[in-house]
Amino acid sequence: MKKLCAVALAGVMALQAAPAGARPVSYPQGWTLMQMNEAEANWLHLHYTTDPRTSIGLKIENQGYADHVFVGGQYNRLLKRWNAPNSQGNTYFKVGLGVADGDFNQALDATKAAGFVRFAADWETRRWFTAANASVYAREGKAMTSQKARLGVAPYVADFGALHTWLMVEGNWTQNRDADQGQDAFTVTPLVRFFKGNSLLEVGYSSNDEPLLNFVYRF
Amino acid sequence: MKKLITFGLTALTFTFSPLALAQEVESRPATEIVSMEPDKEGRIIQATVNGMVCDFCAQSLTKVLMREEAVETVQISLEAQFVTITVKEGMSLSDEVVEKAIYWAGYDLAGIERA
Repeated sequence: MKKLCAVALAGVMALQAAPAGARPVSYPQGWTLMQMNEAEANWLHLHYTTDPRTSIGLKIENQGYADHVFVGGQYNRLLKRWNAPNSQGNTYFKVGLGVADGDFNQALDATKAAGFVRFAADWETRRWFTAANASVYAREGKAMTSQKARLGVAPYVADFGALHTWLMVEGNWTQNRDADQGQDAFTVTPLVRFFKGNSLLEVGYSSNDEPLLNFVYRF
Repeated sequence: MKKLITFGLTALTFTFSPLALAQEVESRPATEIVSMEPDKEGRIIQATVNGMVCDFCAQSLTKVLMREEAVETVQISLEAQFVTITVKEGMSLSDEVVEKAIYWAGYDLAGIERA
């Protein structure tokens, strides 16, 4: 399993060198690399957008506090988009299938078939940003749920090509984890988002003393 | 150790990204572009686009429009919600093709004008 993770990680890292945004569906024939290092999980997701509503890709996710490492494929579907003169709203459905080590701190340890389902929604203007998602992770009889919400404001409104800066706060609720592991069931992470051109960088620090360092690149 | 790996991977990724590369598209207001380049008269299409609220949106739109053979340049103003397309000399680009490209990029055409 560790070898599989290493190979997949190396593959994703190698692909970054190819000619190269944060949404799960980009524009058709576009690639997106998402590397997220958040309060309670680290993950890499590389996806390719096949049509304006669909993307498929690879996902490696390490939920350290839940003792869960997932490697597999991910399908992302834009359910509905609302394009308004000064705003955009989206709802997404995501599903992942693959294998996972770890068992959400349930004292079992073997590589098993695993998967997850996630519903996500966002709405943004050039000044305000809101997003939320709910996920269920499953691994052969064991399950864990997670919910996140994010609110952001841009201190200045930048035009195309300029550096965009956002001040954000993220709340993360998790259930069905072992209370003895020391993690919070609810964490809050203030963060700063920068993006320019094809690249997005987020830096923050969570209430459970974990750094947040996210990077998204579209190509 | 986990934090070190996390920072290392992100630093590596960021280092190799072309964040500092010059942008393909300028962000001048579309109305200004029309008045400054009279030699392109008749070849300028101004489209008002709904949902274009971020740089990633504008990047997507640019890349999809630039796939059209007749498109010479694409310029975007997020402030004005305008996309200004310059058509190559001797070529044409129909409203339908522009609308389809904008939809394909994930956005909605709200209006179109030709100058």
